[in-house]
Amino acid sequence: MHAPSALEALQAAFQRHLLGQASDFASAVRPGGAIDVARRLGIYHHAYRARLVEALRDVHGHTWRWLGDEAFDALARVYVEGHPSTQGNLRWYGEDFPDWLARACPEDGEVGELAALDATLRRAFDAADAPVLGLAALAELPPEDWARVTLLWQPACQRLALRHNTLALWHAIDQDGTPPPVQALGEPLQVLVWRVGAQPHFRSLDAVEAEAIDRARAGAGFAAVCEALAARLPPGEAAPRCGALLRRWVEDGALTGLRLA
Amino acid sequence: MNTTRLPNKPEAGFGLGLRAAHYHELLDPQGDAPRRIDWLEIISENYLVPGGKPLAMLEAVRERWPAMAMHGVSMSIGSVQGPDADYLQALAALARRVRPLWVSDHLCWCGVHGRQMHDLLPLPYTEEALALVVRNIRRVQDALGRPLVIENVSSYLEYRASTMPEWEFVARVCEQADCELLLDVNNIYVSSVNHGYDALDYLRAMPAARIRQIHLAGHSDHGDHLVDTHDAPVSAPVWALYRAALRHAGRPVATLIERDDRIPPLAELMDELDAARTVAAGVWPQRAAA
Repeated sequence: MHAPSALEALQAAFQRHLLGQASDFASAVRPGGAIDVARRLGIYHHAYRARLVEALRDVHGHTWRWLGDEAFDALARVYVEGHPSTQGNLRWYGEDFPDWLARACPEDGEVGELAALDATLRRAFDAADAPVLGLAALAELPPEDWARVTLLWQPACQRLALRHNTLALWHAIDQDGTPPPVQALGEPLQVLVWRVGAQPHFRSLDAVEAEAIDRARAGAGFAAVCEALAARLPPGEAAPRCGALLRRWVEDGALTGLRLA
Repeated sequence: MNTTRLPNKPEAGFGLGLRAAHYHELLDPQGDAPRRIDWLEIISENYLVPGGKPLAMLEAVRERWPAMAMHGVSMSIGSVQGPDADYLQALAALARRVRPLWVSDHLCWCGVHGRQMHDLLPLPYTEEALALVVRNIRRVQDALGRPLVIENVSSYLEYRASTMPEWEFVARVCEQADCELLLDVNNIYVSSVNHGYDALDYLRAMPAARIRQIHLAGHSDHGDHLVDTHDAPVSAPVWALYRAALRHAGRPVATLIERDDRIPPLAELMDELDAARTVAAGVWPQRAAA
């Protein structure tokens, strides 16, 4: 431990004030002028919270509209109090806000899910660029090489499982329509998020496709993915289904390349 | 009155901050923006992302405006730990991509001990802070391989610990770190009202030869204090101070109008930029006529 310098002690005291912790910072501020020390401190105290709440609104825009200004900001302010930022770039603040919201609103399961969908789409929005695999590359691959192929997915690709009709809510909010009543689903709805050009996309998946994507994204070879499908589909259905899935992923633009083991 | 134009050299021209709300208007092939905006300033952090639309738009806009300045908001040059090494590396990589006119950030601190306050917090004006800032700026200049352009911030409090006025601190930082100055005229005005000093005293102490760029912006008036909100047109006292700043600089200086909130259509900001040109043409009539 080093002894803090006067500057370090001052900055730490100011920061504690901003974070709402006990601080003797007021005594370091020069009194005088048109407004008193408490109001001077209040300007910074308020600005810190307003800026982080604004950042959460920015990333979770549909969640904000679903809850309304008052309810969203009230929740966001509670989150901000307990979650000081450690990211230099405000863009990355609130990574666990959707999980936190889900715990904060246990009776309203769609809220955390809307936030997770918003945050996932934002990550897809500015995820790393990558080449898009075309159908021609599949045609060019010698048949014997398919046993060694692993699919490479766009950095923007992400998966979600939703336990409510959150996709329908999101679409209605997005189009300023009337959202349907919130419904809990018997089985979670599996969702794929990716990006086409500059535009994030998402679509729902059936259980077979979701499992195939999860295995493939975890690094399983395409042959192993097909084998796993064969184990859960009626005889003879796995091979055509695997071919159709691969074609769909390529047409979606979700794949960036093939790796040969 | 818009017919008198200073030369379109970015070093002395008139620019706007690049904001996503204006991408479409800036790229409109029928639009007059390339004729009316000499250069653009990007917020560096907006483009310190892995990829996607922000970087694609940056490249598209750069084709029309190769002259761009990079303006950062999170360097935290005044933190005791100094700027983050990863941040500097990412900033240097962005600078290699953008090849900016210059790279600027604020004379402030943004957080200590691993926390980020996402604010431009004022420094105490002490010998200790001066030495630290000078050391940090030199480190940044080494990392970027170019001079850093440092901006005065607006503030709402002053410290008992300060041993010199802000203007003396700013001037000594520039001299000792051998860096350049982004003179934010609105920030001087906002702080002068909030702390009760004469903005002209501040202005006269600025090292004229080091002024690389001027920022103009609007603020909000809360009656007994001002807040630097960048959400309104430039106010009359700030225009007057801008005129004085140009006279003090003794030469045309690159000038930018910032708007970060309640962003109006581009045309409105371009009209405001013309107002800045008119002020500058009044100070330098012989150059405007040339």
